[in-house]
Amino acid sequence: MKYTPALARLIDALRCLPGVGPKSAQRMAFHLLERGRDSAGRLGEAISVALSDIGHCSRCRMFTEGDLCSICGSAQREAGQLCVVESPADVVAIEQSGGYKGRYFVLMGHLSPLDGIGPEQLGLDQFERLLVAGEVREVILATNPTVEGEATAHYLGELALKNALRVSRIAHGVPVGGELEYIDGGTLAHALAGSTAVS
Amino acid sequence: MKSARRVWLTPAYLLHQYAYRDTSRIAEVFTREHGRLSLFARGARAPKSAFRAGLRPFQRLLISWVGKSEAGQLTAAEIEGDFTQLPAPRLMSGFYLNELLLKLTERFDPHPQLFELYSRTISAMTAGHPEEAQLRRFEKRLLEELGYGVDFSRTDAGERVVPGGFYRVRPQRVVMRCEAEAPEAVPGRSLIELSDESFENVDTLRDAKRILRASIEACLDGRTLGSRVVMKSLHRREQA
Repeated sequence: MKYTPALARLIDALRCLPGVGPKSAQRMAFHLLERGRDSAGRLGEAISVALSDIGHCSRCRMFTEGDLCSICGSAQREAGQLCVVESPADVVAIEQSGGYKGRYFVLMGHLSPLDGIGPEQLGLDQFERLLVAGEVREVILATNPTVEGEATAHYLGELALKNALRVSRIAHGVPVGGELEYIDGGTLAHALAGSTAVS
Repeated sequence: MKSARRVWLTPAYLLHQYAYRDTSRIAEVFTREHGRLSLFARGARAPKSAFRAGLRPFQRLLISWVGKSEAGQLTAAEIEGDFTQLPAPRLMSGFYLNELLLKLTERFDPHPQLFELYSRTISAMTAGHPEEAQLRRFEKRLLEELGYGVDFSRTDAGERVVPGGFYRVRPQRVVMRCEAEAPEAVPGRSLIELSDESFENVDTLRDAKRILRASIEACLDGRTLGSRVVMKSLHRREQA
């Protein structure tokens, strides 16, 4: 069957979403047109408003509608602590943990030489300017414990050390509620290497 | 090899991986017996995936898969031997080795010796052996394995290279004697040491890097190495 041009365009556009193939895209399109015309209108409007209003925070690269994001703009946050993460989702995860009171820097990715992703794509000029500006005293490297994340952390750490800042890497280890028997050797090795004194 | 429907626990390294759908990955692996191939690792990004810890670059693995040729399904990935973690300052060099294998080897073309060389190189870099020498040895033997090896101990006229002479080297296996002042003249001593894979001398290392890089460039046929671009860019920043 041939779709009408507008329908074909809608289905094609929906396929840009992660995990959506031709079949799901068709189901979504039919749903929006059959039963969800109001919500489809809201969705369309929300997307266009988001696209025109949301940009990156000029300090940390997090998504924001103003010049600074709510965290960078808040007087309650510790300006001397900077936690570097790979994605906005990581900021949300750390915020939910509730234990961190400093600011962030969002790389929007990690160094991935084989995909051609280098320092330019990660906004490292901006990162260096932040370090040089003098407000930051401590950098916490919270990139993922993958090889790319480690390579990124290593490089960012060097930059921070060059600016005579305190640098730490988040600990990797045994998950809360985990059982040692079922933990892979790599995680265990990290956990043992990073074990802390009992006082 | 192409018709293998089920392969059990064969030695392999993960070279690179791409996200696929919501929770899966496409893994580019280099195996000892079957060469380089792509496999689907279903659910590899899911929180409880069995592949999560094992499927890491620079870790020697034993992997199993089902399916013919392209698009096989990875069914198991276990760590073979010790848990290996390439130290962070050496990861960039590791990415470079992986990219060389990805771009210069053909799919389903087994190179058991190259596989063992890669394995030894990773182990040596993990153990802290001088990095440059490991990289140059790998590049030289990779070229030999791919059929682009050069006998650096003789000129193309069959004359023995002498330590005191100067030579011009072309990417595709031509070595000829030239004047010391000639542009890009390479001292014979560097060529002899490169031929013997003796990389203790700084000058030899520098000359070997230039010669091998030109040969690799010729094999790449116009394609660029992302890892080299990124490394250069990082280096520029470090100098700044």
